[in-house]
Amino acid sequence: MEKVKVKINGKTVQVESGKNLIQAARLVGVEIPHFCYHEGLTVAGNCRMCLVEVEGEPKLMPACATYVREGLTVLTDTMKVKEARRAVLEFLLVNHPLDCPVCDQSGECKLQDYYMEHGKYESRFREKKIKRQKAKRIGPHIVLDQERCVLCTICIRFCREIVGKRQLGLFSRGDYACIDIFDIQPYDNIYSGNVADICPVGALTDGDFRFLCRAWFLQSTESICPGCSRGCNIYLHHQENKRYLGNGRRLFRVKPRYNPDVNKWWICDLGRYGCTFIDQKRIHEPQKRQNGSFIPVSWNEAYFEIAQLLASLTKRDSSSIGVILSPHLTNEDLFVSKEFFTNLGITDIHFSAVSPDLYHDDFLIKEDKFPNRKGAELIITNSGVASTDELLEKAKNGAYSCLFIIGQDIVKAYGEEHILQCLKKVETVIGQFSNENQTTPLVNYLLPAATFAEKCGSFINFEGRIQKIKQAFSPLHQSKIDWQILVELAKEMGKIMPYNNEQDILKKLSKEYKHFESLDYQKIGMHGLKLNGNE
Amino acid sequence: MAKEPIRILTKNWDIKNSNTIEAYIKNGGYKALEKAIKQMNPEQVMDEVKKSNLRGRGGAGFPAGVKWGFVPKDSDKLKYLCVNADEGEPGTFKDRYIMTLDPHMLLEGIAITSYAVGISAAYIYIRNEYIESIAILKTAIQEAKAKNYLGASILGSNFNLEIYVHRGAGAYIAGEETGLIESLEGKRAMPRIRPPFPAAVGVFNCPTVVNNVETIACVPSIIEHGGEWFAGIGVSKDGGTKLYAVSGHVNNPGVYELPVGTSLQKILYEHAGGIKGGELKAVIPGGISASVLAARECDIAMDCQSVAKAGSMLGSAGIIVMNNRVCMVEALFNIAEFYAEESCGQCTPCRSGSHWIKNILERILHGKGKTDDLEIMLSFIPGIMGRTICAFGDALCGPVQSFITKFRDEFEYHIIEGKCNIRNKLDIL
Repeated sequence: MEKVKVKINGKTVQVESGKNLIQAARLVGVEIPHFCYHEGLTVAGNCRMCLVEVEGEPKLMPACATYVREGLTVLTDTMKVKEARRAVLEFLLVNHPLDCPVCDQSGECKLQDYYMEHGKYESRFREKKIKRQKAKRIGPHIVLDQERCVLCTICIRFCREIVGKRQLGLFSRGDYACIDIFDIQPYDNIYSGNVADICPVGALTDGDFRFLCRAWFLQSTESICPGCSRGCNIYLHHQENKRYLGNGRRLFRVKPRYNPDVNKWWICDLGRYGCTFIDQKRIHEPQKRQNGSFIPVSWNEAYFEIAQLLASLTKRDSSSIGVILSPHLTNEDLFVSKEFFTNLGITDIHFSAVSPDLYHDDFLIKEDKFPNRKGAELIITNSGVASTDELLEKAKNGAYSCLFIIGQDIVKAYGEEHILQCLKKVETVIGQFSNENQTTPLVNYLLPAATFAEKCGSFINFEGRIQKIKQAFSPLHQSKIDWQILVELAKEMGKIMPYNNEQDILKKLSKEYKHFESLDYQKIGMHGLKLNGNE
Repeated sequence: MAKEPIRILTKNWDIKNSNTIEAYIKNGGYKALEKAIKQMNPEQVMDEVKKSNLRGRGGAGFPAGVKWGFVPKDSDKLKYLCVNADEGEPGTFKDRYIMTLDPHMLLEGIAITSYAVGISAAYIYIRNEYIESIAILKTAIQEAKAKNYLGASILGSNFNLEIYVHRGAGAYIAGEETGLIESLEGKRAMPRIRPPFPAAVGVFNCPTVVNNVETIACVPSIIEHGGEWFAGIGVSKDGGTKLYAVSGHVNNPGVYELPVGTSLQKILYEHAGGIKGGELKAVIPGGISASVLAARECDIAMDCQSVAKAGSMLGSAGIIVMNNRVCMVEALFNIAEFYAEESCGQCTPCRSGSHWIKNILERILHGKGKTDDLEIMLSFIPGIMGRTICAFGDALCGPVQSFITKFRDEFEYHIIEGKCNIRNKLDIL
């Protein structure tokens, strides 16, 4: 890419041609305030907040619509620029309601931030504010407050340019102009939640987050959406200290995290609102089924009984145990699982990447609903069975006394009738799951596992990019991280697996598997790393 | 010896059935088109127009030939001509006369312009309310096509041209050239950020010339008589005649064709018959976007540069005359209300500022003015002027600044006394 030299506030910087002045200024640590500009959308240039002085231009120029060229000299902090920003803020706030105390955007609102930075004038407005519609549900997830809108049209452009639908529009003219939906046609699309992220003010907010928590109470943790093999980069916004908020929820919302190579600025609604499973229908403690009903047991009891069972079975015949893993698990979970069962001499270990949900599109959503199929393919090798189908067939024919299932809801994947047939001759089913699902009622031992938000680790997405997840909060109730359960079970059986944390596991993994060679979390970085040898 | 008045645009207006092609041809119509196509190449046509010093008659006064020259010659895209017939500037009513009384002059101008720039499709974006003009233009296009002045292989050449009449979408801002383009494309008339300029990226993302009706109607005469002849009529760098549309308190309101640079006094007193119903108080010289001139400032020549020097602008040359029975607070409120109503709402300063100003003025009119209201309104101006995508914001600032500063005592009286001090006041609202 050709580069040009630009001088911003006296600092000279090399900028790729084609970049605008907002982008260029960031390179010298200057943030030019703006409402209507978004890097992923076309330029509207309507908010007039980003006006800057450009040498040779008599008027102030909009930084969003002024592109770098060789020798351009730009000033972003002159009196003239400051006056312009102050004026724009005064005009924007003329009709803005004073409902910051109850506005969900409060604390992360550009109007608030810019007023503190560039406004701070005494109000001179004595006229009547224009009343508009407030708290209008415009779709399944989004609430519109027309009074808070600054008419930047970022939502309209998102809808048109990214979603490819015209569900939002600008209505009326001048100061009566407002954003709205067309008649009763709702704002309903699979990427609808993104408008709440990109709306610079509280005009479009997330109905799911409405009045739940002040933004400044939230902590943010970098993670990866587990909803499909795209591996969209996300932030988990959570807090555990004020348990009276959000009815005991820990995860309050999911926000997209910019990754130029994976999801850019966006995520789909399936991922955004699907992540609530973290706090719903969780398995609280280890359980075992007795006389048709589940009774809670302690971890020690569960470990003891399962260890006994596995020991006696493997002593007689290791091939009487089958293992079904899930590509929902991290590489670290999968590696420890593989090692644990292989150490017991078990060979029939496979993963099931079957899901009845096949919805996909040509933007972000993949047909493969697992975040780590690639990882499973790389780690679960040399199995005694070619597929989970074959493994289930063997179970049906009475090959296994025990089936150990980690993370895969086989009933949902293969249908209840088929699975009941397959499990008929299996004496003991051990299930390790984070949430109640269609398979959990069928198991004999139920071990509570952590969700992706409660552990660290890595996933490999559809194009072979390894990305890391970070732990947002500890596993709920008595649940434990999948690999940890197996390490502890191994210990119960007298076998030490020397893993105290994910680093230990990845280190070993990187030594044993060519694809993971010399990997560590530092190298993976926050935007992930494309693995070598991945076609 | 009195000089014969020069009539270029109005020369056929007195003829019976002047809007028919027969009448037009009988008076030498379409000769210029024939001359252009048969005797000149496109560059020569463009050169003549450049030489003529023809400035855009829509309001901005940009030299027409120069504008045409900005259209890239090497582009492989189609090129378009958009004739701005939206005529929405209050106080302006000249284009309607051209279109109803002499539509063929406009069509001939369109054909010559298109020939010069290499255009094969032209749109007349016409104000929706101009129902009569729309019908007349449509008939005229059929007539011209039938005689092969338009359509395919015009006059046996390989030059083709289709003209479409497109009815406007009813907003003032659709008369702004990029707002017009958006509207023509079927979108909201919201002006575009420039650059790129329409000459490079215009309608349907193709190079586009946008000119006012009057500008285009001048072209046949320029080709017929030569650019130098046209330039010789007006003043330096501003050639030809101009249609001055006089309205308000004059005895003979109407459209007057006079050489560019004719004195305002002459227009008002010799042609428009002098001030009616009182003494001259103020004149808005170029549609309401132009700053108001107090009576004492009215001794000026009406060309782009002279009016600019006097602190206003020639604009569309829609001259609005006010006598001393007009309340200037009411007059400015009338203007502010228009701008508040017509701002497209795109840019923050214009959208909010126009409405705020209207509200303050309304309050003053109702006797609820505050002593700092005038300062507040004046303080908006630097925040609006030059800070928006199009010139609408600037157009709003001119009247506000000029009315308040030039007639400050009237505004102050309203604020302090809560009423008007004009005796025998005319009701203009």
